[in-house]
Amino acid sequence: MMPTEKDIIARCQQGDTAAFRYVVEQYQTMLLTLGLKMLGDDEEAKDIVQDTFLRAWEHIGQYDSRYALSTWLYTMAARLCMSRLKRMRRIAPMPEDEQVLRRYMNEMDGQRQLENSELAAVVRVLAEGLGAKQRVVFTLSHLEGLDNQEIEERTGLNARQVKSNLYAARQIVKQRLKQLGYE
Amino acid sequence: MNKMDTLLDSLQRQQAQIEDKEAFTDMVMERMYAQKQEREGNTYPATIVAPLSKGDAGAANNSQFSIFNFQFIVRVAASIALVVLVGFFVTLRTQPAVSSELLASNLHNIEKYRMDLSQIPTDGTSRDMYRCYQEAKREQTFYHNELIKYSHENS
Repeated sequence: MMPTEKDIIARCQQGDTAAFRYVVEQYQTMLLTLGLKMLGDDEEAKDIVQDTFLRAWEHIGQYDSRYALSTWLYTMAARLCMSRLKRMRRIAPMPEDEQVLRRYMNEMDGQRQLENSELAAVVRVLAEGLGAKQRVVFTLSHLEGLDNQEIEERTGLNARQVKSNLYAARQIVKQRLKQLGYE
Repeated sequence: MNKMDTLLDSLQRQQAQIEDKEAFTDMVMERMYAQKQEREGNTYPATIVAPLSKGDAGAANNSQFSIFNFQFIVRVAASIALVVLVGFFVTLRTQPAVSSELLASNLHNIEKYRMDLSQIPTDGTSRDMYRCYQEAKREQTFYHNELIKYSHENS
């Protein structure tokens, strides 16, 4: 019989590293996707994933079982990304990043799966000019598909902050795409 | 749906690729072991766990600092206990036992008073004699008790 998530967590709380390995295998893609979309950098995203798991391991004893493990990990990763974004200087997209976006826009009907470097490039182009909070709420809303309530819970921002940052971010991205020739 | 929404919608479906999931997992686990080992094997000063940001603290629901490593505290406490225990036994061994001279002297006193008492009339006719008798009896009892006490303490 497959162990339930509750069993896995209980084993992790007893220091079972094999159980924790299962958790890492299970959620690494979800967290790396979030990191890539938030930070637009493959290496930074991998760092965030590792930091998230390390902190999860350290604090697994305080895990609140009322929430899903994925939500707990996702929230931690989102907040680590937010901290990282505040420290990072605004990254200007490289010249080739725009070409990646153009290519993707032309192929969008095919729903091609982007490679990490391509996804990061597209994110960099879109996020240019966004502040840290705007970038976070924009990513969670438009690139991850979370609703405002979920964004509040994941980021710790209040409803007004989420709404205003989201509106501003959307306007900036819209303007940016317009400059690139996409109305 | 305009181009922007189409683009965002499409990006939402994009997932990151991990080419070698096992290797990535190994990397995470290695860092975890290294961190664990570092924490367990460290010496004074104790490791300070990297503080979580304000947001992370909420997410992880825990205190931000662990000033002293638990293992470190346990080791210090165990060392102190060991030193105290060794000190106790050393003191006990080096403490002088009741000397045979002192014991002999006490025994001698008891014998002396026993002899003296045998010579005191106890019919109560003389109040002075009776008081002498009482004092001698008290002293004898005192020495006798002291002797028992010494014997107990040093047996």
